[in-house]
Amino acid sequence: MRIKLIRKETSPTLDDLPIWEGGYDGEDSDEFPGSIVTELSKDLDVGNWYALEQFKESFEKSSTTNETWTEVSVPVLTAEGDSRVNIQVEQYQASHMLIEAVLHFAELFQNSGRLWIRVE
Amino acid sequence: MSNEMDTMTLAEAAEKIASLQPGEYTVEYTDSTHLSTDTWYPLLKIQLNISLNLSAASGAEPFYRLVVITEGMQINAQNRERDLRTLNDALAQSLVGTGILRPALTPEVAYDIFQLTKRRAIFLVPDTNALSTGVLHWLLRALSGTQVWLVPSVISLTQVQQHADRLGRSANEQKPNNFRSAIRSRRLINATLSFLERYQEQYQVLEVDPQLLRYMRPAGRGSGDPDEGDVLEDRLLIEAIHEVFRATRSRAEKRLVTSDVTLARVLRTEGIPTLFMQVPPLPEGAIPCLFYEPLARAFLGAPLSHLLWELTHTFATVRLRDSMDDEILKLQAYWPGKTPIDWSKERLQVHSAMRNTARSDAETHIAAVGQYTTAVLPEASFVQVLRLGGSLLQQEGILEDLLSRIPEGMRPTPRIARMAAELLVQAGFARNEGNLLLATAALEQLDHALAAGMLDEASRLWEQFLPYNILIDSLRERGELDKETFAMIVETPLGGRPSLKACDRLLRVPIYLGQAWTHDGAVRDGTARPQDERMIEDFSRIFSDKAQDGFCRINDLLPELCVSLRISPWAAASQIQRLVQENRFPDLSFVSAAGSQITARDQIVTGNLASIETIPIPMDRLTIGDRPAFTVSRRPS
Repeated sequence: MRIKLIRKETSPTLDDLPIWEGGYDGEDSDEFPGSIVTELSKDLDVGNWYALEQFKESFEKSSTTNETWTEVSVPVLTAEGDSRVNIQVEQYQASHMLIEAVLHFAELFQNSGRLWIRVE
Repeated sequence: MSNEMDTMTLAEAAEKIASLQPGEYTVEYTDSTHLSTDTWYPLLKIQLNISLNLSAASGAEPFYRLVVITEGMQINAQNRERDLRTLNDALAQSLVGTGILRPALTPEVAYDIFQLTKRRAIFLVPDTNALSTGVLHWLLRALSGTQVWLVPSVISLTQVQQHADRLGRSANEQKPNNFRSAIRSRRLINATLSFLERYQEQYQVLEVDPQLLRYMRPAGRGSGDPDEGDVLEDRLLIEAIHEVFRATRSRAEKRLVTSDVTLARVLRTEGIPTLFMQVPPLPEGAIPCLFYEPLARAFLGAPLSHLLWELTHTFATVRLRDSMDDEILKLQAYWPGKTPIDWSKERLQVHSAMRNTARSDAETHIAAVGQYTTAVLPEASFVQVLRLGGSLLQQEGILEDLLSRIPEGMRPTPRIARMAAELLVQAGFARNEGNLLLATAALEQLDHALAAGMLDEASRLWEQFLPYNILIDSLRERGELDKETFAMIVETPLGGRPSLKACDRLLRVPIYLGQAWTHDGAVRDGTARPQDERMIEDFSRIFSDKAQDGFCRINDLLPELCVSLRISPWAAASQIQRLVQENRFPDLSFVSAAGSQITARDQIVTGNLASIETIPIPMDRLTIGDRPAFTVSRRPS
């Protein structure tokens, strides 16, 4: 799943550069396809641009659990050095965490123009 | 049961801790500076969730939530509130340091850090607080894409020495009055030194004139209480920072990192760019063991073993009790004869009383024993399996060699590679000779089929793999399948119940190979290849049913067509495109329009094994010629 944030007064196009882009590209990233956003909230589609407030409103009604488990890879640093550890997590819960964190993060930019968000 | 303690590193203990049974546990501590040996205070409740959907062979750590339960603690009745604050501060710092909690950031600081993530290099000068409160640990994760050079001050290290001296003198005193200073000192000493040990090649100590160190508080006269900060020490630090910023002729950004409000204000006044980050108050309710951090563009968190390790370094001795109040695990950071090497390797003494676990019971059901994994059904992304096959086709070799030939950004981890190798062997695309993997003729056939876009042929080759064979048969018989049903179906033929995750992964393989598709939450059979006449008949019937004013959207027509004919959207689109080019729909017109972003749930694989990719299968359009058609209309008569 990739998420893009764009600041623009009019509807974004494919050529617009995002102010922030991120998501989960780790091992098993196909466990987090963008289409999960539609499973979380039927009002949201993958690949569409949404005004941030509209997205938030639809996302507030989303599911947070689906009893499908997956794993996410997290970086850890110990006395032995850098490595990564996989931690089990519910698929919907992790996807929800990801999107919710990005929505909260987007508040940093809200005073500087109209924001749009897209899930890919 | 023996009380013997084993000395272990975190890596050695992690596997043991990861095998805990699901359930609720209590984390407690004791500390000889202020508690008797048999007095334990509760810190956390841990709710450990282990997914039986994921097999033990996956090696993933279990998910857990924690709840702080320090509220009832009382060490000094007259200082209860201050003591509780000290305890909670130490807990919060441990959680920030392990990556479970995010520091408290103002929007301005968060934005500053966001801008710093775009820089290639940065100098960070942490004060003593930042070194020990965990905020610096978090910051370095957020700046993982930036080269960071740390410049801690010798003043901080001198403070560490002072605290260590005082802590050493209070060991085994068992005096309640030692509580606050002991907890703060231990946290400061161990967190600071372990941080510098872990980042040993990334820092340079900022020196000050040794003559000026005399102005630091003498050992034993400092309170260790951040509420009683020392002005002269802060001024020493500020002057040292001014000097290093002047001397560092570099265009890299520089920031001082502090959790001290007053210091941050003074630094700002003196024009020193500062990142002010505080440890957040402990959240109410259950805290998950991981969270997504947009600044790092990653999930951050800690497995239970890492949390217990950190807590032991903060609280001296920690134990884990299960829901029956039995002590399962005890970890100890201090013992006679502990060496500097033990400290630098973060060794602890561990006593484990863990029983056989639910996951080892699952492992006893595993019948299929492979060279690379004991999983009943190996779990690996299909694309990763094909990539490994591509590497194997280039040249035989041991698994590590095959991995090294895959470009770094696409390379699976060793764990996934083992699963993928096992799948290739079990499916007949590879064979073992000792440690060598060799390609079979079937792998070359698979490569040719994929390169030519002959997904039906590729699927037929995969039917050599028993679970996939059962899957295709089941899809044809039932029409649709979910992972739970499939897990039940394959249990007997495979000699054990596979994990739901492995079943979920396998259910995607026919989708990738154009034999199935997802609709209404289930994986549907798409193996049928109807005759052209049947396709034309059903297409026309569904168009007539659904058209309004002579128009019908592909989005409305295609799913119903695929359900009716049990054909996959990939195969249906391909057949319809050919029929249109042959003018087999003389009454219908396929209306082209400007393209929009493809939104598709399913993907198929394309390309040969060496360059395998996935492309989406849209349900809202058909490509006629080289243009997308979104609607079908009846031609005027």
